[in-house]
Amino acid sequence: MVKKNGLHGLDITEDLPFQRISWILERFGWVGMGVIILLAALGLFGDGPLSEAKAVSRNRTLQVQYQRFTRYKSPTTLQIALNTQRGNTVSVWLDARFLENIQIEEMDPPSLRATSDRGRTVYTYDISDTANPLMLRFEYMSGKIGEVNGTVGVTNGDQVQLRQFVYP
Amino acid sequence: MVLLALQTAIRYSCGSLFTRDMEIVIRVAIIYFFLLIMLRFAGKATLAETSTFEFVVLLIVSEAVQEAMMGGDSSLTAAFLAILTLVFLSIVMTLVRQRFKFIEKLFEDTPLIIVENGKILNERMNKSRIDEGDIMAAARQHQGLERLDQIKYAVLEKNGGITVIPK
Repeated sequence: MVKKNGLHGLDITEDLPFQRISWILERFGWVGMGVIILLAALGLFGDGPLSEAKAVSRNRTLQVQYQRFTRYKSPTTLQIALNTQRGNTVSVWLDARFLENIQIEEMDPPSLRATSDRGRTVYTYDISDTANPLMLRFEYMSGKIGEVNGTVGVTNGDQVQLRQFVYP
Repeated sequence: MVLLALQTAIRYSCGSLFTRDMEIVIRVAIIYFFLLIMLRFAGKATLAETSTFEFVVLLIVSEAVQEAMMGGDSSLTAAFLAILTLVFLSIVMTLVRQRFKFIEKLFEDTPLIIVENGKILNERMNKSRIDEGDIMAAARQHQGLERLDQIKYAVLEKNGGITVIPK
């Protein structure tokens, strides 16, 4: 519908009331964008103070630091701190259900061996000349969107639950 | 309150040892401002892509920043956040520019007269790193002029384009 604007006599589809509403909506949009960006910077979508999570086992020997929020196929880090006792090796396991949903990119330090055992993958580490606590880092990407739950444990029985939400 | 939150976020990001752990909107914001400053140093003429040299730079700059900006992240959320941040920053900069005139001069430079009454102002032309060929090309393109003496004023605009006012 062509409106001839009486003021200017221009053949133009100007609609000032609509334009004013657009301007108001635009400004609301800006505020919304600002809020989302602020929340993102704080870690709502991963990598920030809001997203830092720490799971500690009951006797505090096993501590796992991970991101509460992450994104699909986005690199994220899992850090395990383990108070080790005697012996030359220690074994840490991750449950198979968790491992099915993720893709491990890097493990630091590398394990001596990795074996599969009753729905878990067990990683064995050499601790004969390592300081206590043992620090492990797993870099991985989530291949599943939504809630991802995992369990990390040590073979003497300590374990912790991880709960992660993966954005698309 | 907002500033405090932002400060926390930035401090957290700076504490991360690896680039990929730095939160995406903060990475994008840093790259945005860095590029703004870099292009500002490159000068007006670069923005107008008047020569192959500049064209190539602007063509592949996006490739150079991609990995740093996205950090190996192929999720939709990351793409949305990056786009959101860039658009938001550009809106904020236009608002700031409107409010504070000196910001406009700082980031966008000022127009410059380079030809007056058929005479080229040589120092200005040389310092701006453009030549008579560029001026005449603009004169032909915009005004269909044939000779330098047909130009009343030629102005090197903020965006690097040359505008011509014929006699």
